[in-house]
Amino acid sequence: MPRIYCDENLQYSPQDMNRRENTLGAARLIVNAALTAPQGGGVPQVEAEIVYGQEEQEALAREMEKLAYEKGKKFLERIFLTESVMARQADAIIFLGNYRASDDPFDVNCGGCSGQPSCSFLYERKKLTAHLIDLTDRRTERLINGPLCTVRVTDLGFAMGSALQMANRLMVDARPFYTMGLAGQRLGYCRNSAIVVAIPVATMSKNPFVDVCPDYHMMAREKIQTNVRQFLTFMRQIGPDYRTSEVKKADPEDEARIKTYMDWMDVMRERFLKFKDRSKSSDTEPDAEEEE
Amino acid sequence: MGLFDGRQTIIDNTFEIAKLCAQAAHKASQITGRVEIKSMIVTGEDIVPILEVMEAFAQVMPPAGGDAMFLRLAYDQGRAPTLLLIGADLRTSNVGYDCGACGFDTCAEFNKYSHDNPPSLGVIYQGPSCVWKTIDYSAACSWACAAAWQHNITNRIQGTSGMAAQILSCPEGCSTVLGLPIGPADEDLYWFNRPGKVFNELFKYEDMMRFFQNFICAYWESFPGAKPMVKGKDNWWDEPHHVLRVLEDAPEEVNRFHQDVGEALNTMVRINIEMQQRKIDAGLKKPE
Repeated sequence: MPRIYCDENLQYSPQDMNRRENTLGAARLIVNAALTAPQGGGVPQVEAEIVYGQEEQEALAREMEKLAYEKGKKFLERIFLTESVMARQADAIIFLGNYRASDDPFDVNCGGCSGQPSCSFLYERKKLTAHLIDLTDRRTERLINGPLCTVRVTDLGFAMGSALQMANRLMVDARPFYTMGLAGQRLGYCRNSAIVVAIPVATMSKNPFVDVCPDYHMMAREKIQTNVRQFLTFMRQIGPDYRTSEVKKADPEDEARIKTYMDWMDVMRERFLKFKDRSKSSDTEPDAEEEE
Repeated sequence: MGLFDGRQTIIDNTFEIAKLCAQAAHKASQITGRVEIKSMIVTGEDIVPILEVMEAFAQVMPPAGGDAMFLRLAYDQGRAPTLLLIGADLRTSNVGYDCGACGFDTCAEFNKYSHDNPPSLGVIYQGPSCVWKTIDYSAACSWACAAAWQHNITNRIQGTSGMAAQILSCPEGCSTVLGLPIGPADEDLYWFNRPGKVFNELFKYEDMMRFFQNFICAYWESFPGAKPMVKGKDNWWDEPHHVLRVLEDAPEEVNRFHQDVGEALNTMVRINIEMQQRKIDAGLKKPE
């Protein structure tokens, strides 16, 4: 019987990859839930893409960090940087986009984009060829090439809601993001869509998308883990060789003196001075401890 | 303890499910976290004013008439669905993304346009709408539908009943409202068990063909441009296909149209006053 062992402790180790593959299975079901959401006119218009893997997620996070400083707004910088951490920590990232939102409006004069019962607001702001919106014209100074058809956007929202509902049912942590969607769009995920939403999913003992502290990008979980390991390595170096000697118990009198951190430092200083004097006075004496 | 008729129980139970759906709508995840979802539950005869507004719009907006027909049918059969209204104010953007998805460079420009251009009556969405708030709002609607689905009850998200409710300011302060009729509880009416008897009385085969050729082509398929025409008959290539012939209206018809509009407006005002009174009676609004 083959055994599949799952653990999250070492990132991208075989046991962690097993766990990530399970999440990927959930992500596939979530995408199906998104695609089965009702769409206006019953026409297909939502495209989805699942992205996972260390290289891909790192590229996405770096794109978000680049976007953070693009607009020069403190508020955007904060949310882009915070959410870039989540792009790194997620197991897989689902992108949902609507490829009809920009160039194929619903044409029912609903009033969503302008409040007037006509679609002219949208058509006036697009390049038209043969009375149709020319989708090759993608030039824009903005983050998103608007305006967009509100009915199509609503349908994208329905798809996103279905995806989140499915994630909820599958007990997978998920959260929708605007920033990650923009960065993914720049990297060519859901490339036919003018608007993209990202839903990272994760199955870990701590939901990485909530309980976010200020400057989250400076205190990411991986950095804290590796920093703790550095101190652990440092502490390990004070022990003797385990083959030749055992660690001695402390003098009970010394131990009784230690009430505070400073007392401990005093005891340590005394021991150090004693050791220094001993090595001065008895340079040639053999070390008794070593011979045990 | 007691004996209950199952069918009547589940008809009453639509209200309980509507409460759970409202709970789901308010609980849904949001991207922006700044959309204030407003909801209202309409049961029993309080659905009548909304039905009347939908029927008043039937002539200019056939889907409104169709949706009203289903609701009216269920109401007459004594198994009226509970109508959950989910709304939000999407006309003001407070997200500060400056992303340009709405067609304006900044959120401030969007808000200025929104302030200067009041929406016109009879549009389903009272735009302009902030795109990211719209996505969050529709995800909330999606959660409400999913909650209804988990209780195995017919539901259908509707722009038409929402528009009617928005005109009657239910719930108040919303630019966009979508209606979610929960029920009929016992037998499905919209999706799988459409009553053939009623439909055969209302629509004949020729009506359907006319509907396809005139209405669907003109409104949904052939917006000025090059989307393909419907091939309405055999040998469709023999002569050019005309969807509509434009004629000048006769003066008496114009007069009749103006009278109809006047009556419709009077009806709308009457229904609105009635609905506000119902809201005051229900304790949802303070009397002025």
